[in-house]
Amino acid sequence: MQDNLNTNLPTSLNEELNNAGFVLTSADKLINWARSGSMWPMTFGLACCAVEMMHTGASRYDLDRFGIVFRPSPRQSDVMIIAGTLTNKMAKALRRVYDQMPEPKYVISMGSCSNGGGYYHHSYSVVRASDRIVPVDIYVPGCPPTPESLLYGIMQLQKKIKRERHFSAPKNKESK
Amino acid sequence: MIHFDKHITDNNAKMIESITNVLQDHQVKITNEFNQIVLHVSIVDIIDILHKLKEHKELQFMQLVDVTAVDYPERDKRFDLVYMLLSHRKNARVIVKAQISENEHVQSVLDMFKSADWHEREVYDMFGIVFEGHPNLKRILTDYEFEGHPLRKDFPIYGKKDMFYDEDLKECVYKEVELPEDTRFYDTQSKWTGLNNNLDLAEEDKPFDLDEFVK
Repeated sequence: MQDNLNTNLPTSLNEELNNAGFVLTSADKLINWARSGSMWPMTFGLACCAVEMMHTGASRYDLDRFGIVFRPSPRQSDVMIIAGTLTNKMAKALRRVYDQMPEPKYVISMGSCSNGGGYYHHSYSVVRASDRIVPVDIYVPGCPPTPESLLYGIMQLQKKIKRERHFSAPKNKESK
Repeated sequence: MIHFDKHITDNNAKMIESITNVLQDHQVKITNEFNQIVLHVSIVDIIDILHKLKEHKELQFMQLVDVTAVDYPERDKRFDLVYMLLSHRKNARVIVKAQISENEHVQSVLDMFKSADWHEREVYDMFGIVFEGHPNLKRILTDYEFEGHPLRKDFPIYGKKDMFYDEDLKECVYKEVELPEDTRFYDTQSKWTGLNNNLDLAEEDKPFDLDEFVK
């Protein structure tokens, strides 16, 4: 038997593969690993936050290294990043796009306007928080948030996904 | 009646002369405010005046830059309807203002200026001024079922309706506005929060005085 089958794998994993030929894990962990490793966001830029979202996706901060690729269709997306001011007129469209996303789906609310109306909280035409329209998982503060903040928010969402239990839900506790 | 501000360019002074000549049949008050030509006209002959401003050889205000309105709720004729024109040929701009009341209609200038289409729709949306002869006079910015005209001074700044998603109906619905926090009013006269605070400038922040420097 060869000493090193695959030099790209960590040593412990490599050893296990060398000895047994397979790896044991739980189904929960496997599912969560797959989900958190390829969160494809729906492109939903509404205002200046969208520019910071683009920065996050571009080469400097590079969302690709998290397996995150922006999709032009809600039917191919797992995450919706609400980047910008959500107006009353847009709310219906946002909800429709959210409804079109397949389960499991997550929402990141990006920036003050989306979190709680922000600068336009007292306006006649702006939704005073986007969680009135869709259930939000992660709120990223800032006006607009820096790419680092958004990246941190995305990593928080990954953590949240990794905590999910599909098969071994603890009793008396509601799993998402 | 002609009133001049101190600062006016030669070109604008010449334009005021030409406009006065062209519009001598109409009752027009021409003012120069910060080197901008402003015509105060009556709403009745505003179409004639805009037509003359556009077509006269000496003026040629071919481009309608903006149509907007201003609300003065204490006045009898509560709105100022404002047309802004640009003459590329003569390198000049002019602002035409006319007072109009809530119930009055005004003729659309769409056949004269193509750009008036969306501008007039916006004025209708924001102020509720009706433009007669506009082929598609409906709201342009606010939501489809929006009620009221938001730039009127008597429109509540928070609006009247709030949007929520209704889990039972599975659609977005409007509810009456309910704000968890009272309106905050700022003391505009205060030294700290006011807009016109006259805190003494530090020595290095004082504006540069050229005369003193040359001495």
